[in-house]
This record gives sequence, structure tokens and C-alpha cells, in this order.
Amino acid sequence: MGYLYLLTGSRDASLEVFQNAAVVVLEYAKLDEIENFRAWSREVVRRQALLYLRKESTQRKHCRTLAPELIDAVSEVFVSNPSNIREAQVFEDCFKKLTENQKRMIDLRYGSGFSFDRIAMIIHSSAAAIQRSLSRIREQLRGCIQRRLAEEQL
Amino acid sequence: MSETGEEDLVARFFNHELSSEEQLRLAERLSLSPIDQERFASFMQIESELLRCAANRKLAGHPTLNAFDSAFDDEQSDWQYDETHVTLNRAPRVPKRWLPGWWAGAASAIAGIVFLSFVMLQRADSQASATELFRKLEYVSNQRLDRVYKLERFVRRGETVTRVEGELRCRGTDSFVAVFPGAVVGGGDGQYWCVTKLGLAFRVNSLSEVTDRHAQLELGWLEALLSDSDAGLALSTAKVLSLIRIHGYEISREQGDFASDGSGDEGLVCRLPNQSRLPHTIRIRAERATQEILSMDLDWGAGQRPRAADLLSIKLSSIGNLPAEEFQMEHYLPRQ
Repeated sequence: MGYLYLLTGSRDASLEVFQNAAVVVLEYAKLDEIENFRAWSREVVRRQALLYLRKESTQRKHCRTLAPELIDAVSEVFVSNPSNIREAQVFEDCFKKLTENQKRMIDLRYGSGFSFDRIAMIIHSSAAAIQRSLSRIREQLRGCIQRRLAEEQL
Repeated sequence: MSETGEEDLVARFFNHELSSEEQLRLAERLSLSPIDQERFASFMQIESELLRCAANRKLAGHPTLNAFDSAFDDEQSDWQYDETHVTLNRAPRVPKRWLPGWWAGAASAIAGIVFLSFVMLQRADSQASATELFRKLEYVSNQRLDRVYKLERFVRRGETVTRVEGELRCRGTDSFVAVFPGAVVGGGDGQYWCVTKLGLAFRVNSLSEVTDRHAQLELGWLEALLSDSDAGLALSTAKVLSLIRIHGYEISREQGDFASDGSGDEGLVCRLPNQSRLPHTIRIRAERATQEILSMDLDWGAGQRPRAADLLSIKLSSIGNLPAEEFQMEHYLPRQ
């Protein structure tokens, strides 16, 4: 979902593409035995995402545009880097350590899909400050996850 | 790539801040540097987990609900509902101010004014409290529908999805019938397909085969609707709530039943007099803690509808004690 979200910039669009991909996966999965199901399904998701972006760029519904080169590079990263289940588990613990304000910001941004401007209005701040805060939150979570994983390896 | 400052293209990308040139620079780095790739993948996973986490928190209810409350409080406009873009006018808030007391000679007049203000405040607060409760009920109901609508689209496109002994199967059917909060039910030729909110899909021939309590409730509801020839009578909780909102029912609170530990239910009475095509009174009972709707009584008035008697007391039973896991589309993907 993270991959789809960053390509489309919209939670709803991400779900839409994900569902399209899920339907394709289910349709084809029942027809054939797929050898490397995980890799194959990731490729389905990637193609569905690209299909969506092509459609959107012609319809101009979403103004956010990504350079085709970047879409390719991001997709390459997505396909070649399977999500790490242990990281996902550790994420939960790291998330709990965030402050209530940080969690609220995440709720507004990722849960409600509000724009930076709208969040800024709600919590009496500026859009730039919200962007910086979210950036710091991501870094904080990433740092926490890496620390925890490194500790486990010791 | 530096991990801080302006050169941190990865972090800035996730903030949607990159210019076209910077996008190309990032693309180049991602294609050349395994370290950047790794870092990008790590961020992508965090993005994914943040989305999942926020969605779960939202479904769990309170934190986001509070955030929504704040959002509504901060907005000067009326409440907006995404589903239908219909607005509900908020009851005017009367500012609470102390009245000046230096007019000793007019004490009795002031006392009268204070009394009247108090009554008006109480009334406005009561009205605001009723509309607030209504909004929360609708929010919780819509949260359920959100999940179900997504599933509905999914099922419509992929036709019916069934999980038989752990195996997922798709099969076509044109007889998809209805969607209700918490469950998707398709039926036809005397058979039903259920997809519970936990992603368990199964096919049954009759209600007696269904052991899942929640599915029983939903199927019972479906049967009641199917047995009614008038399709217009098919009202789900969400539809009833929309009805109240769209037609501007007057909403007031009703005394709830509380246990000694503070748990219990609370109620709303929604009235719309002088309407022949709509129920003139709708009573809603909801669980106090979860705002889960327990029952809805629709009073259409005597003789106004041929099947009014059947609908006098539609009981939409509560979701009950389902396990806490939330529905996720991922459940439909077969595991490797």
C-alpha cells in the first residue's frame, strides 16, 4: 500500500488500485499454478498502478505528476524489495512510542487523508511545519526500527 | 545521499516536495545506488505501515473520531458528510456569558433574563448533544459501510468470492443482492453467500446452516427484506441515518438505560411530522460505549403504508461480540 500511496498520492486511489490488482490476482491465480506467487502478484500491483497513473494523467484528475523515470525507479525498488515482516512487527512497538500529537497528525494525514493545509488549519500550524513534522516522524520510526532490529541481531 | 537537509531527496519525496529536476535526480540515484534503494524501500515500508496503522486506529474509533471532532469544531461551516455531500446544519451555539449585575433595581428582570438564557442554553446544549450523538452513530455506521462498500465493489467485479476449506474461489453470479453493515450477502436460487467482516466467505443453503451469529443476524434481516415485495422498504441502518439527515428530522435525545457501572445504552428520537411517504418517528438505541446501533424503530403512522405493521419495529441487532480483528482486503489474497 505504501508503494501505491506514494505513486498516487491518494489513499482512495491506492485502495482502488489495490482492489483492481486483487481482482486480477484472484482471477488468474485460479487458472494457473503460479510458481513465484509473491513476485508475480507484486508485478500485477505494479502494472495496475502504472495503468492507473496513465489513465489519471490523461484525465487530469490528480494534479500530482511524477516523472516517468522516477515511477520506473520506484517500481523497480518495490518489485525487488519485498516487505520485511519483522520490520512490520517492530513498527508497532515504535509507533506506540510516538507522542499523542504525532499520532494525531498521522491519523489526520494517513487515516483521514487530509492535505497538509487542512491539517495545519486543524492543529493551528503551517503546512510546511506539518510536512517537516511528518518527515521527522518517519525518520524517527525508521531509526527506531533499525535500532530494534540491530539489537535483536546482537 | 545525505540523510538530512535539502539533499535528502528520499524524505522530501515522501513529503511530495520534489520538483521535476529533483525527481529525475532521485530516479538516477535509485537506479545506481543500492544503499539509496534500501533506504527508499525502508521508507516505503514505513509509509505502508503508517497507512495500515492509521486505518486500524480509525476503525478502532476513538482517536480519529476525536480528531474529526476537532476538525469539525475548527470549521466555521456546517458539518460535511463525504458520502452524499449533504450538510446538516449545526445547532447554533449560544456563547456562555455572565450577565452584569450592577443594575440592582433591575434584579428581578435580570433574574428573568438569566433564567431564560439558562433555558435556552440547556435547550441548545441538548440539541447540540443530540446532533453530536447522531453524528457519531452515523460515523460508526459509515465506518462499517466503508469496509463493506469496498468489499462490495470487489465482489461485484470478481463476482462471488468463496473460501472453501481454506481455498479461495471465485464464481460468477448475477444474483448479488444486498450489502449490510458488517457483512456482504449475496443470494439467489435459495442459496446465500456471506462474507463476514473478518473476510470469511461461505455459501449456505439455508439460515439453519449458518452458525456465525453475525451472519445469522444479517441473513435474517435480508430474508425479511426479500419477503417484502416493495423494494423501497429495504432500509439499512445507513440508509435510515441518511434519511434522517437528508430530510432534516428534528433530533432529540431520549433517556437511556444505565447500569451501575455506567454502561448501558442511549437513545435518539428523530421526528418529521406531516410526512406521508416517510416514517414520522424514528427511535434509535445505541450502545453507550461503542455508539454501535442496537435497534431502530420506524414508526410510519397508522394506515399510511400497506406494510407499515411489519416495519413498526425493525430490530437491527447489534454486531455482538465478534473478535477484534479488523477486516482487511489483504485477507483475500492467498498466502504463499
